[in-house]
Amino acid sequence: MRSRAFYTVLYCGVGSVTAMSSREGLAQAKAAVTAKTTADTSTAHAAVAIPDTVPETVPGPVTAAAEIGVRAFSGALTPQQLGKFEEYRDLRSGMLLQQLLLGYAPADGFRWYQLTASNIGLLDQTVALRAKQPGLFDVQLHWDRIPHTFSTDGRSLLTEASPGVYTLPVPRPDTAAFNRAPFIGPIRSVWDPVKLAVAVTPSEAWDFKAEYTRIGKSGDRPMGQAFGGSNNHASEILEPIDQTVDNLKVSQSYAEQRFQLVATYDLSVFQNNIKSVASDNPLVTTSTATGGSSQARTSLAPSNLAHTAIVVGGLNLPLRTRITGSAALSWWRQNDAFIPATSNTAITDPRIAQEPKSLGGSATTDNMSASISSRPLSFLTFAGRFRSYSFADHATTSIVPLIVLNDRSVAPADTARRDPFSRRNADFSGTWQLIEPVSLTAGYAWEQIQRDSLVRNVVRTNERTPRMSLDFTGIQWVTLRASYSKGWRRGGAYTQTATSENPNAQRFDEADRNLERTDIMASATPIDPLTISGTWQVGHDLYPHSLYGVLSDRSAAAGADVSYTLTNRVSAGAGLMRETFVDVMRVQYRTGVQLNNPTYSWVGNNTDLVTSASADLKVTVIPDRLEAGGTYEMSRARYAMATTNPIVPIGGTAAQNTSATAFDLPQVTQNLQPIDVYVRYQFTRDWAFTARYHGELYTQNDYKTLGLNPATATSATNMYLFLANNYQNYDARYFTISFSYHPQLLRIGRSTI
Amino acid sequence: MRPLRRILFVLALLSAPCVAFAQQSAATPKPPAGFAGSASCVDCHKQEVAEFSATDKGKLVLSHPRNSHEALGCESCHGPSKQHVESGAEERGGLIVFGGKHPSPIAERNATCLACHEKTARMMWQGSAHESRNVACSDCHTLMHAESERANLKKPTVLATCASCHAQEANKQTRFSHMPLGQGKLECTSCHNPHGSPAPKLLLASSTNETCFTCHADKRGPFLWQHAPVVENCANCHDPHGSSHEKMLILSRPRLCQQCHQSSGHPIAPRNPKAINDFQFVFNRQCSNCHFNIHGSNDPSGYAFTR
Repeated sequence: MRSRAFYTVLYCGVGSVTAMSSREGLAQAKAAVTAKTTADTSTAHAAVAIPDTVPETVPGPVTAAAEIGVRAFSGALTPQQLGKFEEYRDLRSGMLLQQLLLGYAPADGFRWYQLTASNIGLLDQTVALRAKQPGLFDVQLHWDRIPHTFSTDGRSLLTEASPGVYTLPVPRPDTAAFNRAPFIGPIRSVWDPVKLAVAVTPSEAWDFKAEYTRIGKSGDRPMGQAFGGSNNHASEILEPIDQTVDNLKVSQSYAEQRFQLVATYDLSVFQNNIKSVASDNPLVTTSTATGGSSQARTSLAPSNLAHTAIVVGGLNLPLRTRITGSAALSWWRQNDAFIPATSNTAITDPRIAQEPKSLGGSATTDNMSASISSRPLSFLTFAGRFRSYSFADHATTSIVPLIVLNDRSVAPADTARRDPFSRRNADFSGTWQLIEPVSLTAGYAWEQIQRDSLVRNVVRTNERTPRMSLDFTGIQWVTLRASYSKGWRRGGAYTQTATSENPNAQRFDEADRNLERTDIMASATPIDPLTISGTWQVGHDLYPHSLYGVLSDRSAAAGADVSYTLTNRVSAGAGLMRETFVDVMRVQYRTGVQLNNPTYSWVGNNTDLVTSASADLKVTVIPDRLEAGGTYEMSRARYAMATTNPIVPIGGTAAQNTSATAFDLPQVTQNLQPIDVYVRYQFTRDWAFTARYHGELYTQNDYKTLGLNPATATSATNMYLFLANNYQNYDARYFTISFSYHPQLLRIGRSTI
Repeated sequence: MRPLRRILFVLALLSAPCVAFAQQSAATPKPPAGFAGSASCVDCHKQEVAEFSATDKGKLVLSHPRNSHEALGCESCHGPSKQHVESGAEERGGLIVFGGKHPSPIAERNATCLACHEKTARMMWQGSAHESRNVACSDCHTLMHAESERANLKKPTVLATCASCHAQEANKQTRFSHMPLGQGKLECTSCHNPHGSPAPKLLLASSTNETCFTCHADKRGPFLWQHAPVVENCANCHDPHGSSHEKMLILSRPRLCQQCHQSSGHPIAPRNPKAINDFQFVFNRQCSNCHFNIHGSNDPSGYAFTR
């Protein structure tokens, strides 16, 4: 498809106010180059006088750019409709300082300093500082706010007494009162990643890089909290987010023509400042040992850290042969204090005091790889690769002496199983260049996964995948890439890890699988102004030995793009893609004595259909004066989870037979159609006025969230409290007008604006 | 040693070579045999040179070469042009051509780039998925004019560049549930190294999970109660490129969970959306209405990920 950046309000106008005129800047740039050429005769053949055809817009040493505008809505959306509309962005109306650029490039502009910012003052603003001298250093400081709005129409009676503690009044409100709950405003988290990156190349052989990134996360997001037991109810609350992720990465590389080496150290520290979240039980106000707790408490993600060391090396040998190898070792630590096993103070089992205080969590991963690539003849290439990855868990605590089930009953000690596994991959391929633009590749891949028999049902699986590909490349007017692969995954004996498991069921990541993939991608430019491209992908995963579990996965995608340049003033494009995914699964409802009732089987047929289309047009009405254009995109999705019983369920009680009877889950539809039309008038070469119209239509029909009440009582003792939030439909129409001043060629690099 | 000191020590150690080697300027007095010099190029390729001279790369090789190779200017990439110049452009000679109707063979073009750039992120290019499919550096990059903010891409963004071939993955950005790539907050290269990597799928980190943990470190654990498929691969349940289902799931719940959870009891009933007793399994967060900590729980009572 064509550009997918249609959510972003792309402003073609770039404002720039230079400290001197463009012509002066050009003159200075030329003078600088000439001076350099004259002064350093040793590089006389390298330093090239800039031709007279350089656009006259090269600015001087100081560049300032800005775009200022106004956004206004035609028929404002309600606050409750803003959820999806502002999912990752802030589109408020009013004055906008949409883009800003300040640059300084002394002398001939070889070294430059730049400040860029966008969406200033908004929740999705970006600020970046950069200093660069090509070939020597590149220093960047980047702050990019990322809002994620989950909804704006949630309702709740819960009060946040302190961060992560939600209370309800006593006596508890009834269902009707919950359903009159007020809107609680946007449910949103905001990430604030700040990144400082330094890259230094002191010589052609050495590169040093250091990156420090701090991601501050704040806000909240919906979460479920269960009260469980006979009163099998749950409440949807807000997970408070007050977290930081600190990543420090330093790497040093050495390279010469024959040998290259990179050593990297990476430290990642996650800090969660809120360790648990608690909320009042909507049905229980007084805790009792068997009746449940008046408040449930759920642990949140524990703080942790990881050290990773990576070494990668490469060696060039004769016959155009290259060997590379890598070793990466990672060590993770997590030792946050456990929260108490229950919030129910009426449960006084002495074993609670014997609970371990923390996990003493420690895990390691290692990733070793080696590869060889050789081209002994100009038309023949061989490549081989081996990789070994393993995950080992060394937690010091595994036995939990007491488990409190839903704060109302006590279960005996249990062992928290660890899940070590390893994965080995090998891949070999040979490429034969039949004639210059055509190459044929045959390859063979192998993957072995080894797991722990205490945790997983199949200890070892081996997957072998031969493949062929044909690539017609290297000439401008046509490209064709086609590949086909067919694989077989086979596992060892099935081990039942729990008596409640269905021994005939296979999990999809362990089950025997036959895999088939076909990809074709073609692009042609039969005549200069016309480019046509198409893609066709088909995949089929079949699980031939699974009686239950996933039986098959099919996918198909077909798409085409056309772009046409009618004249040098008019260009247009269009694209269409249709994708289908079908997942078939079989499950056996097993309950009571009806563990092996064959009529209790049901089949799920899960189908996703997605259609996407796009169109764009650009017209230069008056060269260098008036331009117009627009884009339209459409993404329409529909998924259905059809469910059937191959045989009518019989044999159990009426209630059991009813529970075993399959029903289709309702179909879900989603539809997003943005359109963006603009007209730009350039007063001068640099100053421009842009008017844009944006329209965005969003509709969805998701039974899971549509029309939910904040409270639903399923029995006298069961009540579900939901935030009743949903991405609401909207039909947004808004206009922006902006003034900008933009040189066609900025000396200090192209900005994002 | 305190952590900060350790970090400073490591930084100092790693940066030592940088201090030891000052930037060198190894210019050559005159063009070697077969080379005509960049000035010859300007005569016919004014516009190209003009645009190139405004780019970082252009400034480097045309005005500030660091070594004798860069001092060749245009010919540092395009090879010796003397024959081309002397023939009045009738002959290509030893020129390496990256575009146009008759470009040089891909292996030749790529070798030109790798002569200088086969280091850091491009060390594993040879034998990588892209190299084995005859992808040319110039399929994604252009040096002659600044089209993208960085990385000299042929298209304005990384997403648009990758979409040239990976249309289906790029198209997933328009799905109901997706990461903010379309908003420019992430790029394909936030997770992938298109030049090759020791990990599968050209991932930057050693595994899928370790790539995800770069930002989603809260999912790293290790937890007291682990969920095996989560530990092994986030992509068992999520499609990071986007999905029609909530949370970028590959399938909507409860069907997603029922693919594996076939133990007797409540996980395996087909569920009737109209039955009140199935309410909590079908609506809202479905299985996660109760099993919130599905990525792992550090609660002593969190064995079923409800705490």
